[in-house]
Amino acid sequence: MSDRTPDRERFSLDLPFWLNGTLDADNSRWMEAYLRAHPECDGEHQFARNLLQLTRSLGSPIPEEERLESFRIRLRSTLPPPAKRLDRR
Amino acid sequence: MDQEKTINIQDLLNRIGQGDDKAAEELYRAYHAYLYAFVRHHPEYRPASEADVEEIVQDALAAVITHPDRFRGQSSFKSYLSQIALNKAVDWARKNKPKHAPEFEELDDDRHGDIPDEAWDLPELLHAKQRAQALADCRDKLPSKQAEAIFWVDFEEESVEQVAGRLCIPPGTVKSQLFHARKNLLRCLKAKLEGHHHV
Repeated sequence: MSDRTPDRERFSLDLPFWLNGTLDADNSRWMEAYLRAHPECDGEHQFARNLLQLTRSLGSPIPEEERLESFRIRLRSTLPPPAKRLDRR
Repeated sequence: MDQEKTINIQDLLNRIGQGDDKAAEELYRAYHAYLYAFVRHHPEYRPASEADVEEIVQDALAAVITHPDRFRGQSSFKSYLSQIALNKAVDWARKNKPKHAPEFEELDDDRHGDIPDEAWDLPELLHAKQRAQALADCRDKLPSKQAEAIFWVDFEEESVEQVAGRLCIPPGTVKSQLFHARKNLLRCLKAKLEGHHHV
């Protein structure tokens, strides 16, 4: 275990859930107060925020129309007629 | 992020079953981003190219469109879809044998280790675009458990309890995995900045 304080540990561990908005109100208030009182933690805060933004904005670099066209071609060549798509097992 | 709130999936699947091609495209548009991110966060099956990722995504969606009535609503549609995508990714990896050797430890325990506060400050010399690319490169080197935890928390915005239930691990382990993931990403980024090309 590290020599970080339990509060510092709590801040690190709850950080992703505070940033994604799923931490409850009491714990969120605690996180805000802790960050205000410990500005040295802002680097870790910003790092986690960057990761969140990168993950949320993740998308294929292939243009959508190009992807869709290849999907249409694929469906035309492989898809069974509608009646066979509803063959309940 | 949660298209299931705005899309009536059962209606969409019924239309697909009746041969409505527009409905098939709607399904593609609605779930592509989710499936793309899901596959990207399973680095053990890391496809070599964007075209391969797209192939896995299309395989999963085509499987749903071919048999739209197989979704029985016992789980959320996204869970159903991600299980299909995972199977397709495993099939792909079996055929193509990607070389994925995670460059970081799993560290599932509670050893969080010390990181000086100032170490988290990334130099401003990294432009946003460079930083995004570097982070994406480093994410591909994470152990799969850590990468998957990032997907559920940062992309799907799930709570610690939801992720713990989904992955069948204690909430504390979810938090630890995320912390170790960030720590590994930081190490990777620092090494990149220092020009250590082996990372």
